[in-house]
This record gives sequence, C-alpha cells and structure tokens, in this order.
Amino acid sequence: MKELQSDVVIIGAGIVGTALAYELSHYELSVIVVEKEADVGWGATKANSGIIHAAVHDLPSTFKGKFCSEGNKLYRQLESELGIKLRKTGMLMVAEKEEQLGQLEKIKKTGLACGEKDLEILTKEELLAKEPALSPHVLAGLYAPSAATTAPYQLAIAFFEGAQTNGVKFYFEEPVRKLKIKNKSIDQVETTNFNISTKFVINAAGVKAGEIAGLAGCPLTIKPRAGEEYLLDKSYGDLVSHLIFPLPTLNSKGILAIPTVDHNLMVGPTAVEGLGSHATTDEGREEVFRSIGKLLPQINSQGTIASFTGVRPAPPEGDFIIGSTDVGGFYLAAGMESPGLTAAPAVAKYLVAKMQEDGLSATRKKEMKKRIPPLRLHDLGEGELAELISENPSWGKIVCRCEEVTEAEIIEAIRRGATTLDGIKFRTRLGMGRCQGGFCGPRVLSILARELAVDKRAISKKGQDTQIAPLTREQLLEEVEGQ
Amino acid sequence: MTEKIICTICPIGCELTWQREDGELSISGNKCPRGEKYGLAELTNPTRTLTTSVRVKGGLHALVPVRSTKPIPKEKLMHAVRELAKITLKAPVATGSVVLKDWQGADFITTRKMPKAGA
Amino acid sequence: MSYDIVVIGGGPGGIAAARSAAQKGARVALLERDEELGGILPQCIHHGFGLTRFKKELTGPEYATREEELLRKEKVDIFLNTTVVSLSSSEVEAISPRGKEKFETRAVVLAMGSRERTAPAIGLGSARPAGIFTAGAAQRLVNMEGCLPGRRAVIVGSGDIGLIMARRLSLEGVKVEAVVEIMPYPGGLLRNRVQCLDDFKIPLLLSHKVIAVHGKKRVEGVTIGKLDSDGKIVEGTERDLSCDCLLLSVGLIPENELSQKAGIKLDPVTGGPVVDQDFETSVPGIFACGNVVAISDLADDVTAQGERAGERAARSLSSQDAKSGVELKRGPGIHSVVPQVLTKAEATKLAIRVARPMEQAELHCGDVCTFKLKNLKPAQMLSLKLAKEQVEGLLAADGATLRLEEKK
Repeated sequence: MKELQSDVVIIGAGIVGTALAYELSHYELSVIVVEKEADVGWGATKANSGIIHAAVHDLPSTFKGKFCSEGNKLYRQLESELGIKLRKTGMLMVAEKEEQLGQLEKIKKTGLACGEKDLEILTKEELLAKEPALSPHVLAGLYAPSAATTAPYQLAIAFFEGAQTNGVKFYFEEPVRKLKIKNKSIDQVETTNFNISTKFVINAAGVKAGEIAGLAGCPLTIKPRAGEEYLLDKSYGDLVSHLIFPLPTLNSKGILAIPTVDHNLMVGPTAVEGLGSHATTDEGREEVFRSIGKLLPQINSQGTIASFTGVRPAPPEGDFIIGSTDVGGFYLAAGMESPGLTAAPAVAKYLVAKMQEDGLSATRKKEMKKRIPPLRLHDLGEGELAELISENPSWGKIVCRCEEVTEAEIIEAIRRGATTLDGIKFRTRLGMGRCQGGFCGPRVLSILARELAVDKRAISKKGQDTQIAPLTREQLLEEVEGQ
Repeated sequence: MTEKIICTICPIGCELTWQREDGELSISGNKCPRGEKYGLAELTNPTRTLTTSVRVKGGLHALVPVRSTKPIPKEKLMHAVRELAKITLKAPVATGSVVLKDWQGADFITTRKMPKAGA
Repeated sequence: MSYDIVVIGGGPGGIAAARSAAQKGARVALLERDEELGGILPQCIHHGFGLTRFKKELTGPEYATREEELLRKEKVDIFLNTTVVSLSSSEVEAISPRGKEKFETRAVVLAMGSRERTAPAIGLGSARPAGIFTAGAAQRLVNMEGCLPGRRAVIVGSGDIGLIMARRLSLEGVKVEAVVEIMPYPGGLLRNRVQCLDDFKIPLLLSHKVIAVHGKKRVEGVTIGKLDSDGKIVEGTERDLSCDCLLLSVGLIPENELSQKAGIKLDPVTGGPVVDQDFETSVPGIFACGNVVAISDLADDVTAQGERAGERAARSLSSQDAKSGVELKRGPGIHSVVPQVLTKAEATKLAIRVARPMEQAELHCGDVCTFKLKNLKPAQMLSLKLAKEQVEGLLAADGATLRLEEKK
C-alpha cells in the first residue's frame, strides 16, 4: 500500500471526472484522479451518443438546463483550446403527429428560456428541403442550430491529456475500496494500491457513484439505464446532415439519427430502465431500426458495422446531483445522464467554484501548457505527409486499412498512455472501420508488445482479465497431459 | 456390423458402408474404385498429413509452418504435435528444411523460408 | 513512376496477374500492403492448395512460395509495405515508408482480396468481451504470432475457415466445443468436414444459432438454440455452451473500398465489381481478379483468374475497342455468377454459386442453352464451360437470366 497525499482526489475518469481534472489543473493544486478501468472514458462516456445538445429539453432552473446551455458554449472555446473536433450539425426535432405540435412549441419555449439562439419551428416543406431523406409523413420540426456531434471518448482523452500535461496524476485500474472519514469530513481515499490523504474528494463515478457515496456514508441511488447504439458504415454518412430527433418521451430523448464527426451514421439509443447489462440484444436492434426507420425509411440494419450498449447513470429525482454532501469535503457530480456530456465542462467550473467557497485554497496558474492533439494521417496536407515519412518511416506504414491509421499514430497513442487494444482504438480509430479490427488487430498486438516491452500474451483488449491471446500450445499441451 | 464413412477423394462424397463377413472387410456405396481403397484404408489404418508450426527465434514471424512429407497414422497426430512443440529453430530457416526426421515413417519439413526479423 | 499495368494486391490473384501481364511484355508494378507477398496464404498453413494447378497437395505457404518464384522470373517491380489509398485507370496513389507515391499507369488490376464478415454485421450482440474473433484473425494469431485465444472455443459458421480453425485449435490443445451453423446444411468443402470435425469428434450443430454471448470482460459462454424452418428458435431448445473464445466464420466480403472510390459498378450480391470475360470492370482499363471480385473456394481458381486478368489487361494496351456487353442475370437457384457481363464471342468459363444444395438440376441460360448438373452445393463453386457458339447465342439474345430447376 503506497501512501500519497493530494489536495483534491477525483473518483472516476469519465467525461465528468476528466473535465473536472482539466478545470482543476488551471490551479496550483495537487490533483489525483483514480479510475477503476484501464483508460479514460470507459464507462458511459465511450458508449455515449456523442451529442453536444442544444438546451431545449430542460428548464434553466434545473442543473440539466443550466449546465447544458453553458457547456454547449464552453465546447466552442474548448474546440481550439484542446484541439477537439465538433461537427456542427444542428438538430431537427421532428413531429410526426398533430398531437406533437403543441409539445414542439413547448420545447422551443424551454430552449428560449435557456438562452438558445435562432430556434425555429420549420414547416413540412422546410424540413424536407433541409433533409430530403426524411419520410414525407413528417409534419413539422424544431430547428436548433447549436447542437453538434463529437466523439465522446476523444473529449475525455483531450481533457485527460490537458489535465495530465498540467500536472494532474491519473491512476488506472485503481477502484476505490474505502473512504475514510474523520470528524465528519473526508480524510483518506483507499484504492487497491494507494492510500491517499486528502481534504477534497469529488465523486464522478458514473454508474458506480451510488456505491461510492455509500462508502462515505452518504446514501445515493443511481439507477442504470441501458441504451443500445448502432453504427452504420460510411456509405450512410451523407444520408442526413443534421441530428434527427423524435419528440422526447418521459425517460428518454428517443431514438436518434446521429451523423458522427467521423462521417458515419449512428442510430439509437434505446432506454431500458434498471438494466445494467452491457450486451446488445435482438430486441434492442429491432426497436432501433423500427423506430428510426419511420423517420428515415432508407435506413436498415444491413449497414451495421458496430453496435454497443452504454449504461447511463440515472439520478433518482431526474436532475443531476451536483454539490456538497453531509460529509465535509465530499462532493458529488452524479446522476449525469443526458445531457451529461454537454454539461461536463460547466459542471466542472461550478463545482470548483463551490469548493473554493467551501475553503479549497486555489491560486489560478498564470500559464497553462497547451494540449496538442496527436497528428492524424487524415488531417495532413500533401507535403506534410511526405515530410513526416522522410523523418519517420512509420508514418508510411498503414496498419489499419479501413481507417488509414499508420504505425506512427499507434506508437504516439502508446506514448500518450494507451496500453490496451481498446486504448489504441479510441485514440486512433484503429479497428472502427468495416473490418472491425479483423485485419489489423493481430498486428497491433505485436506493436503494443514491442513498444511496451512485454510478452504478446500480456496484451489485453481493455485491461485486467481481457488478454487477447494469453495462452500458448506449450501451456495447453502440458495442462492436457497433467489430466 | 455396419458403420458409415464419407469418402473425401472427390467432391461427390459417397457415403461408404463397411461390412465384415468371415473376417473379410468389404466396402460398398462407392461410385468409383478409389473409394473402395479409401474406405479400406480408413478402416484399417487411417492416415493424415499433419500440418502445424514450430517456434523460431529471431525470425520475421514467431512460428514457421511445417508439414509431414507423408501421411502419418491418424491416432499419432497429437503425439507428433507434442514432439514438434519441443523444437525451436533459429532464423534464418530455409524452406524444405527437415525439423524432425523419420517419425512414424515421415519427415517434417518447413513449408516456407523464414528470414531474420528486419531483413 | 510510370508503368503499363499496376497490380494492387500481392496475394495469389495479384501475383498471377503481374506475372502473366509481364510475360505479355507489359511494364508491371505490383503493390502489396504487407511486408511479404502471399496475401492470406502465409497464414494458411494447412494443405489442400495446388490440387488442380500443380497436381499436388501443398500448404498455403508452399503454394505462395512457388507462385512467387514464378513471378520473380519475370521483370515485375514489387513494392512491399505499400498501401494504395486511391486509384483511377491512369493513376494509383499509395503510401509507404518511402513516402507518398503516384504511379502513372495505363491499366490497373485489382487483386485486394476480401475481408471477414463481423459480429455486428450478423447481428450478434454481446457486451464486447475479449475472446471474440473472426476466424481469420484468430488464424493469424495462432499461426504467425504464436499465441492462443483460449482453452475452449465455439465456432460460429461452418465455412472452410471455421472448419480449418476447428482442426488447428484442436492440434494446439484447445477444446473445440462445437461448430454452430444456422443453415440446415453445412458450408465448407466435404474433405474439411471430415478431416477437421469428424477426426476430432467436434459436433456440427446444423440449424442452430448463437442467441447470446455471455461475459463482460472475457467470453464465458454462449447460449444456442435450434431453428425451425422459418428461422425462429424452437422453444425449449436453448442451451448453454461454456467457452472462453468465439470464432466467427460467417463469410468473406470483397475489399471494395477502393473499387467504390474509383466509381466501379459493384454487384450487390457478390459485393465485388461487375466484370466481363476479360475481368474488366465497368471502368475501362480497370480489371479485377480473385476474391476481390467474388469469393473463390480454391487458390488455384484465383491464380487462373489472375492469369487471365493480367493477360487481358496487357492485351487491352494495344487495342482499346469500345465494348458493348450483355448481362447475365441471376434467376431462381442462382446466388451469383462471374463474369456478369459477356462482351465477346469466345468460349467462357462461368463461376457460379448456387443458392441451395441440389442433388440433380438443370441450369437454363435463358432459352439459349441448358446444362444437366449433379451434386450442387453452395460451398462448392460451380465452374461451367460455355462453348463459343453458346456465348454467341447469349450475345445475340442480348443476355440471359440463369436459372436452376431442381430435378427429383
């Protein structure tokens, strides 16, 4: 057990935890983030729809409404500050039935109250002119220009790198085991290998936030709500250019068509209460394609190249749970289901301000080190690639054919912290294309083993107990002989 | 006593039936004489060509593929596999080099050359 | 760099095309993305290659070695570690450790082979645990990286790659629990069924489907169920198979990204380019051969296609007559036919895949000619030889619909 000390400890390195880490890294503070997975964003963040929402769903008097609106604006700054990519699609919320028109008006009002600009109710003709692929039975739609799409895991990685570059320490595969309280205040955070003395702890543990709060003696119920997403191949990439939303239901924004920042089309998510399973299902797939097929008849499941399930952390009363608790120094950033991704940077600023009010002594740094995003083959100009290759021939070795990812990018991803196949995937897009890593997977195994100087058998998909090919024939033949 | 075997000599895949009468084995169901031969061999002494790989140090790949030069008895396949698992070659390795000599009537040879890594 | 013909892909198809084009006097460049030639063959360490071409039972690497030796006798410039990123009939752009290169050319032969169908593409849901592989990816790991994916495997799909891996894993000490096949008949060549499954007493479960994959970090098992004739799970047939890895052998798809980028017309069933008897695509000057056109069962057939494509590409350099073609359409019983277009009156070999097994059938090429056929299986490509007169008849009839009539 190693003893550490930190001004602040953040539990969870998802979008919220990493946004908090980045915000705190602007101050002269020691900050430690502990994360149970092997990399950032591997809870709900990576399985998220990747939408920077227009604030139309929640009133500004709620955390959801307020922070969605602020967060949306903050991401425009963060785009250049952190080098993240946003696809500024805008949103079309489409009404199919007469009864929905009143709801659409109400939603527009909510948006206006949150400060959304340029909201418009479009007629059927205007809708179809904007998106000819829409089914002709649509009646009207709300257009919200501020909505955008992004790769949610890339956001978490950007916040992580920005924070790390500016002094925040991250410890992976370190689940929190105990929270020690002294005089009704937080005193220590105990993980598998560390005992961290601290006075300020933020619980950003996503679906596990309830369990973590329980460790501090603060009861909190976070309900899981599973959602399946289906990624279609790039031939669907131009089917729509806006986010297409149906009218929302009680517990969900509905099944959407999401033109991704990488020019795929993603459809989903479903919303199954109380389900914490990460498996995709036949029923889920049917529901997604039946639902989105009503709005966009050209979509069918044949184009599916990937599917996954995310589990949202749903708060007990419907709004985010942000703020202090009865335990001194123990803060919550919990229940951050949709629009959690959008709200994250705004929540981070709010909480840090709250902590300062409560006594966190923090001087703002005069200068920050800029997070430089990694170079990608796709973003290079003509002359740039030739130059890079002449300096470093691994820029000329394409490993992932489908997404055109070079060995240089893989090596850089490892340098920036990837130790697993999924870590490479989320940083470089390797394996996200049509063959889903069938060709490049075995080759990346070798590259990881070489760069990390470990045996090939140790290389894992996503951390402990997920080694890709952990056995040898010598082992198995011995085992069989022993029987 | 009858049992069915599928002949694999040609794509037709005749279903062969065998019978033992007065100590004599006979095959039926074959549409050509090769099938009879195949059926008898399968019953009395089934053999298979073994293809597998042996480890190699310092080569372009971690393994070099090998094959038996002749079919070996089917029931000895895993024994051969165990013997070959004990062998580690050193790159460079030429194609057709013998890695295990005279094992159950066959040699085991490499089926490709394996240059040194980075060659 | 300027060539007469650029061949893309250094597997058996590309090697044969480059060789035969060079033999006809063309200046040829062969571009291969990997660090050695052979395509998929180096990882196919089993025997069964070269039966028709060399009258021998060679392993994949032996076949590749022989073909490479024959290639290197000709003057062909071979570029390894070179990935083509875009192409037209007159220019090919590639990236390699040498830099970004433009190859000027007068014709192109596509020979990029195929990729494997994936779990999401067949609607196989899971929590994405470690331990799910396509059979070819597992083959590469086992045969070339030297590490094994698990102790107990279930194989989905009874195509050849799955059968070969069933044997391979067994020989490595892995327990293969079962091969699960949704169709009521097996895929793959008969000899593979016997030598890969029967020999190792691995059950082949026909009309069975994997309903669920269990395990969050690593595969823990699967639930399978029997299918009725409507493709629905029969109640009460669901059972669990314990395993720690799942291999998917559920079909190959031609690598058609470059073809699509080049605006080549694709056949929606094969997924590869529509080609004529010269293996020329809808873009004049771009030819294609091997698995990139349609999946072949035998490397020998791929070599034959490559030879023809290379030879015809070389021929096209001196005579560029506009071609008008007639279409061969797919009728009942026919899954796919290559070539799909006839443009010249010459004896032609059609590569046909039938839609379902038939003991005895009649193949009608429109009203022009009929063939009596036996023992038809989807897993075994049917090679049908059309005589010159028959092709003339089809040209005159402005094409034809091929249909299979089962005879009892």
